[in-house]
Parts: sequence; structure tokens; C-alpha cells
Amino acid sequence: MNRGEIPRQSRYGESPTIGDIQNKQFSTRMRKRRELFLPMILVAVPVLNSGAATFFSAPDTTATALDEVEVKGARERSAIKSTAPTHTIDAGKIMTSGITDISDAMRRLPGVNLRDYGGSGGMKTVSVRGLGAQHTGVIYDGAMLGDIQGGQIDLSRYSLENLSSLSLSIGDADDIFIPARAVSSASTLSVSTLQNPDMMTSRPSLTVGIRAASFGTLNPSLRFAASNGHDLGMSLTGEYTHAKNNYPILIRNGSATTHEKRDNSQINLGHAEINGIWKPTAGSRLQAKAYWIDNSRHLPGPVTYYNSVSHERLRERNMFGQLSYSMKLGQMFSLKALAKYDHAFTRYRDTDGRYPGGELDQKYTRQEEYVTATLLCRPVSGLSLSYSADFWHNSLHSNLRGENRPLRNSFLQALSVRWQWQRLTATARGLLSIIHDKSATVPGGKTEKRISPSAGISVRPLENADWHIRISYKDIMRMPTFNELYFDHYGSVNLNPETASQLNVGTTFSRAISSWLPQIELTLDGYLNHVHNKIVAMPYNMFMMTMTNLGRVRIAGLDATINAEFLLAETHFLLLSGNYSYQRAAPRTDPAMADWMKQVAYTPLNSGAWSLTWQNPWVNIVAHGSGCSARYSISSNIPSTRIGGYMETGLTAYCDFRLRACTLEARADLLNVFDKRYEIIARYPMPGRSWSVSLTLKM
Amino acid sequence: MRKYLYLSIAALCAASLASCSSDDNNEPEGPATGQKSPVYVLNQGNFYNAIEGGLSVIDLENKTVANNVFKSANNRSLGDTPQCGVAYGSKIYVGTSQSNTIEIIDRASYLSYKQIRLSENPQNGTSPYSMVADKGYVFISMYDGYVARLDTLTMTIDKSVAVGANPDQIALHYDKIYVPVSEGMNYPNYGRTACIVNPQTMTVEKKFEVGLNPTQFISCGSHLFVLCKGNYSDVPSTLYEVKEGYDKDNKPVYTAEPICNATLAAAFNGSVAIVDEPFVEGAPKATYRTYDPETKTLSDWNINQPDYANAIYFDSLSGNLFIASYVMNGMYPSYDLPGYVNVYDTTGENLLYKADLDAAGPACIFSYKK
Repeated sequence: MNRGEIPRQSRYGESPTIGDIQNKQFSTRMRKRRELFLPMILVAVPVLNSGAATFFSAPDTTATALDEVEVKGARERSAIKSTAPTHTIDAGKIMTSGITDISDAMRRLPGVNLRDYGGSGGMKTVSVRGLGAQHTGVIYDGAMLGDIQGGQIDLSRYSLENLSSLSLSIGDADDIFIPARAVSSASTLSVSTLQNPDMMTSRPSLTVGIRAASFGTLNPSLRFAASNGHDLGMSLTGEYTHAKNNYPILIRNGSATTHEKRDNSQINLGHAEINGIWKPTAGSRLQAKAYWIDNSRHLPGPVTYYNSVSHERLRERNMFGQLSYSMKLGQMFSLKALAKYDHAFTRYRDTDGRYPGGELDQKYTRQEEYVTATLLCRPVSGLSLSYSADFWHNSLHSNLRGENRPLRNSFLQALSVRWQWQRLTATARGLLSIIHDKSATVPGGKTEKRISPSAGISVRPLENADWHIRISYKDIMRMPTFNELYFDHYGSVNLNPETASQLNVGTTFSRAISSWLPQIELTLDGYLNHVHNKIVAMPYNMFMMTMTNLGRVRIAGLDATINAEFLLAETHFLLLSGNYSYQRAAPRTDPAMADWMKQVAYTPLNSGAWSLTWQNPWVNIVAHGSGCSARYSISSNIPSTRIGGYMETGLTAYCDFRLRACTLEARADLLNVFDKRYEIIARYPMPGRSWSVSLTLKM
Repeated sequence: MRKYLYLSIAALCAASLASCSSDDNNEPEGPATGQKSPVYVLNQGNFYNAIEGGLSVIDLENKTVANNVFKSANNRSLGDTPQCGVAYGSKIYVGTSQSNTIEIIDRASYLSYKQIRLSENPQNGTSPYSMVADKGYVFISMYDGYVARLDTLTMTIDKSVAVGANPDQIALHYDKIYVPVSEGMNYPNYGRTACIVNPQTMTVEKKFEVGLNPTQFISCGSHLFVLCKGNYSDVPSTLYEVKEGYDKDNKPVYTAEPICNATLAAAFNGSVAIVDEPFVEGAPKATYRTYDPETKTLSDWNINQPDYANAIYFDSLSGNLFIASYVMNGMYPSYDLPGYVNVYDTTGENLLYKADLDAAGPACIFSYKK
């Protein structure tokens, strides 16, 4: 892309309001006069996407930056030319694809294997390309989230109400102006919220919404944003979710099928955030964020024959505050810094006569202090260099016996280079990790050091065709979690880090074919991953299991995506979106083991999702689906552990109304239209047919 | 994380239910001594990996095994984690610890007479862990702290008694029920007590101290043993003999005298068959021995060893010895793959037959008790 060129706004890359999508102003007439509207877009995009750019995505080194213009569409565009696969779902696509919740959003991403324990309160984690959920890092508004205890981020706590975008980077994305920690995972899921106010006007905005759904679900939300129209702004968001989650389930037991309810599954979740922004100069910004969530859940546990009694409770509270600052140092340098404090509390309780005193009560407190600074240098046109240094300290306290106060200090440095020359883009990075653990079990502590390299190249072979070929490689390690190391009689302090290598070869294509097919984007990537020293639980006698560095896994696969836009009539569009993944994840630990060259547990060979949207001036209609082929609950793949494949289909209708200065958005969803009964995790049934309606008033 | 704790606890049922014979007033007679009646094996499966367990039946005459006989006969699951069982009179009684049921099954057809759902009526205890039968009753240790009595005529639990936290595998010895109070869920502060329950009155008559983490009583003729699993770390699993004496007031006093390290034990033709597979990381080396309580001698047991023994049972009717085993998955025993049972001759040394099962975790072997 040449300097000054505006990234073309795909209908998939937009995050306007429903009204903006539907509005006749956004129709063919606009297309026909695109050039005339370019300046208008320059102004409008920041308005529409004022919250889209996160701290670590601006300035974006993957595209030629226009100062002070936050262009959300650029990320979608960069996905086509990036050296490693990057897939983004923004607020616009959430609507146009009929995405219903975070779990559904994950299923629309290629290469993602979702573990969903069912219902809105069920834990949801993602494994990307067969590497395991602990290799997926999650960035929330610019800062990496960490769970030092279990290493997996439960995505169920995030709703779509306040979401700006979800972006999945497999390997290293092209942006090198990011913290070292942001590249310390094999894949990174970046969650960006609508945090910033509209800085172009001093008029405050208020958005209130209410969503009601099956199984006693109620979800009111609120967002208030204000700015002085110049350099100072703030936003406040809050939401509450209550759901009984007592959805009907079928229990098949031999020849009999019984109809029961998923009892003991309710959730109460409160969530609030406050954001502030100050732009003291044209090239600098100071952002602050405070986050709080309190999630109280009943856990139904796996479905048990003849016994639906469960008294398990889980309470999770998390609060963090972060302060970030970015600035330009002349024409050549840019600097970013961030400091964050994170406090998380988890309490698990179970009432049962088997426990001492009749109750099991486990409490865990995790704390993290995190600082990072990144310096970007652009010595010559097309060449960017960056250095980032991150330090964070983790501690875990619990009321469990044994090792209950381990500490970890992590120091990461990354040196990155990005070179763009004509139709070639190349990136390379070296990540140095120095991690020191301290615990009563290992009084002298234990230190791990490792250099992890990564590199990628993207080439556009033909000057006049938006066709790219890319190849990338990343080597990364995963430190054992505190559970894996220190949990008494389960963890092993002798564990080494798990390592993963990723090789990706792919091609992307984007083109306007004709007036009736103004936009089509295709991506196709093949990959070969290896995991060494995989940390697995093995029985070392008939009473105990322990963690060992035993496993080796080879994963070969294919990811394909399509996004196409068809013009049916002047104000009628048909949007097609789809993704397909083939994934062969074969354990290769020992030929004598039963899982040798079988398929890793809960990893389908085939998975995919699709959506078809009819956009029109009245009520937009979306049909969508996602599914996968059969899986096994254990890697030995014995026949009795087979879990059948599924395809879940849904329907969405949405529209908006102008009420003077306000906009009322309405959306209705019919989920699992064909009432398909299926499981993602064995014995955790997913809900059948259900509905959801929401109203959002924007003032 | 919890699942491994549960798995560990659930695996604690190595059921050798050898006990003194007694009369059954309510049930028809079974085969006479020397005849070969079927031997039953409960496979626990692996609940957390969605692997169903079941009931297998070994036919000693034809050297065959019929797997999952309950589900075949009833078209429904026996329940999650079959834990303990007893064949008494014309019926089989099976307790499942996850499903929390007592299934009463016809011994000939395997059809269910009745299913008792303990979680719906928990006042007599839940989570059945072991069973013995005597005088028309089946006595069940409930892991939430009770011993319950099931009347085989009415097929209902008519009485129960609180015995302490996490009672494990009980034994009938001279008309008394000996209960190991393991406190197995109170890690690492396991229990050190056992108690004696009067089966007629269903009261606790006596409590006495044994080794750390008592999990199994074994009645062997006139001798009584208790297996204490230690703390799975620096306190080894040890077999004790329980000696009865009298104090100065002529009241009975019970003491536990250590015999040897052991992780599995069962009565075997007047001796005790002992397996010791220490709780160490990696592939453990198993030691097989026998103990003669009359001569107080330990002898090497030259047996054709299974892969990874999980339960031992001596069938006094046929004189055969049975050892249930996990299969090895590389260097490690598999909690997922179907196990097997080795059938040995009356010497306990020569392998007669290997019965391949269809589910993981063979943990409880039993046969007809008159």
C-alpha cells in the first residue's frame, strides 16, 4: 500500500452501528462515488471506531500510518498481507455474521478448537492448531492476561456487549511495536473493547441495552462516554448477567433416553470498567483503565447416570488497573510503556459428606505486577526496528496444604525487525525469556532461560493483483503452570518447559470481481507444528497421577477462509463468510503407547463455520452454522470414547430505528434451530434450541 | 485438578472381600465347595474421561468372560464408577460411587430387581465403597461416614451407623464388622482409627488405633489384618495384623502389629497374598509375597506377574486366585484402556487363564457367598 492510500473498508471490517450497516447512506451510492467520499471516510472512521484501536495496535507498523487516524479496517486489510495468519472479528462482523456469544465467535475462527463445557456459565478455552489451550495467550485491551495457576484463560467471562474486536494471531503478527510478552505465546487472541470515547465531539453518549434469552438469562448493560472534544475523555461500562442455565438435556442410557434439565448451573456475573484517555500532544496519549468482574457460578459437573445432585460452587473475582503511555520521539522513534496490577481471587466449594466437616473449601489468590516498555525505530523508509522489555511478578496464595505460596519473576526481551520493500514484507524476532521460580519446595529457586526465534515473509507476486504468498516460522516455549509444578501429589517440580514450533505456508487473495461481486477475500494456509516435552498427567502408581514431560505431538493441518460480498440490488447485499479447518494432531511419544499416531483428544479432523447474510433496508437476516466431525475424549481413541460430530445452525435478525437523536437497535436470535443435541466435552451437553432478543438504545 | 484427587480416591477400592462364611437365612443355596461358580469383576471405567464401567463375569469351567452383562440384560448402564459388589444368595449387589446407587441384580439373568438411589435419600450414607453379606443383610460402607445395612428381603436400607470419615473396605470377622476409618479425603491428615460395628444392633462397639490411612480389613481364618496405605509419600503402605488382648479390666484391647510393606493384600488359603508396588515415580518394581500367620513367615511368591495389579481375590469355592490388572501404556499403567484378570491355580503360582475385560479399572472381584 502506498503512502496515503486508505485501507478500503470491507463490510467485514467495519464496526459501525447497525444503522450504519443498514443505512442507505452506506449503500451502493456510496460505492459509486467512493473517491468523493474518501475524505469523509477519513473523518468518519474515527467516529465509528473510536474505541477500536487499542494501546498496542496504534500506531500500527503493519500499514503506513496516518497520524491520529485510527483505522480499524486496516487490521482486516493487514490480514491479507500479513506474514502470519491473522483473523479478526470486529463488532460489525459480530452482527453481520450472527455471532451470538464469545464461544460462537471462537468457532468462526479457523484453526481454533474450542473447549466448551456448555451453557453461558460453562468454562470456555481455545486451543489453536492443536497446541493446547495453554499455548494461547489472551490480550485484553493491550495487556496480556495471565493465569499463573492453570495457564488457561476462561473466555466465558467476556460478553459481546462491549466488544470492539477479537483478533487471533497465529504465530507472530506483523506488528512489531508490541510488548515482548505479547509474542510469548504460540498464538494470541486479542480482545479489544469499546474503551475510548468519541474524541471528536464534546457531546456525551449513553448506550443502554438489555438482552433476554432462554433459560432465565437477563443481561442489562450500560456504557457512558464523554470527552471535551479535544484531548480528554473517559468511558464507563457496566453489565450484569444472570442466567439459570437450566436447559433441557437428553441423557441416553442404553436403549433409554431420558429428558432432564441441566440443574445447578446458574451464574451471576457483574462487570464494570472505567477508561480514561488524555492526549497531551499530537503524538502522545495517556490511557488508564480499571477493570472489575465478579463471577459466581454453580457448577453442574459432568452428567452422571442416576445422579444429578451437585453442590459445587465457584466464585471468581478479578480486578486490575493499568496505565499506559505512548509517544512519538521525533520522526524516527516511538515509545510505549504500560504498568499493570492484577488481583484475582478464586474460591471453589463443594458440599459433600465425604469431605472433612462436610465441605471442601479451596481459596486461591493470584497477584501480578507487570511493567513493559517498547521502543520503535524507523531509520529508513520501509525498515522498522523495535526493542521491548517486559517484567512481571506472579504470586499465588492458597489455603491448600503443601506448597501454597510459589512466586515467579519473568523477564522477557524481544528484538524485532520489519522490512518492507516493494511487494515484499519480512519480519524477524528474537525473544529472550528469563524466568525464575521460587518456592518452599525448591528453596534455591529454579531459572529457565531460552531464546525463541520467529520469522515471516509475505510476497505479492503480481503487482496488479492483491495476491500474497506467505511463510512464517515460530519457536516458543510454555512454562509449566503453578498447578503443574507445585500442586501437591500432582505437580512435579522437575518439569521442563514445553516447547512448540510452528511452520506456516499460505496464500491470500482479495479482489473486486465485478459489480455484483464487489469484494471477495480468500485465505489458505497449511501448517506443521511440533510440540516437544509436552506436559501431561500420567499415573505413576495406582493412586496418584503426576505431571511429566512425556509427550510429543505433531500437528499438520489446513485452514481456509472465504469472505465474499454480493450485490443483489441497489440496497440488497448478500454476505458470505466461511472457514474450514483440517487438523491432524498425532501423538508421537512412544510407539509402545496406545495413542501413538492416533488423534489427540477432543481434536476434530474437520471443523468449520459459515454465515450467510442478507442485508436490506428493512430487517437484516443471517443464517449461520458451525460444527465439527467426531472426536474422542481420550487420545487412545478407543471406540467407546467417540463423541459424535455436529453442525449447529442459527438464525439472526437485526435492524435499527432512528428515534430523533437516538438509535434503537434490535436483534433476535434463534439458536440451534434444529435442536441438535451434542457435546463438545464428553458428558457436558450443550443447549438445544433457544432464543435471545436484545434492545440497545444509543443516545 | 479435582479430578485427579477423585481418581486417586476412587482407585482406593481394591476389593478383596474374603471373609468368614455365614448363613443366609433368606437366600437359596449356591454351589457347594469345589464347584466352580462364576466370578464377578467390577470395572470402574474412567468417569472423567467418559469411559463407562460395568460388570464382567468369568466362567471358570469354560474359561470365558462375558463383559458388560448388566447393560446387555437391562439395556442401561450399571452406573458411573462401579465400586463394590457382593454375590449373595440369588442376587448380586453392586454399589456405584459416582452414580450413588445400589443395584440389586438377579444372579442368573442379570436383570435388575431394584435400584436404590442413595443421593435421593442420603441420611443412611452415600457413595458406597465396600460390601459384605451375612445373615440376610448386606452391609455397605459409605464413604461419607456410615455403614449401612440393607435387608435382602425388603431390599431396603433399614439401618445405618456413623463410623467416622471415609470408611473404606470393611470385613466380617467373628460376626463383627471391622471398619477402617481412612479419613482419606482429609489429606494429608489421614486417619489412624478403626471401629467395630455390631451387625445386629448397628452400633459402634469399639474404636481402636491402627496404622496411618487404614483402607482395608482382611479376615483370614482366625486372624485379622488391616492394610494401611500410609501417606503415599514417606510413610509406606503397610500390612498390619490386628491382635486382640485384654486390659486389666478384662476389656478387649486391639493392637496393630506391622507385618511388611504392602499395597495390596487378600486372604489366600489360610495365608495372606501380598503385593507391594511402592508409591514412587516411574515404573515401580512389584514384590509378591505370602504371609503365613500361623508360622509368622513371609515367603517369596513365585507368580507369573500381571502388568500392574489392582485387586486380588481368592475364591474359596474353586480354590483359584484372581488378580485384576491394568494394562501398560508404554511405561505407565493406563487408566483408560481395558484391563484384565489373571486366573491362577490353587497354588496361586500358575496362570490358568487371562480374562480380557472391556473396560478400564478392574477394581473389585467377588464370587458367590453363601
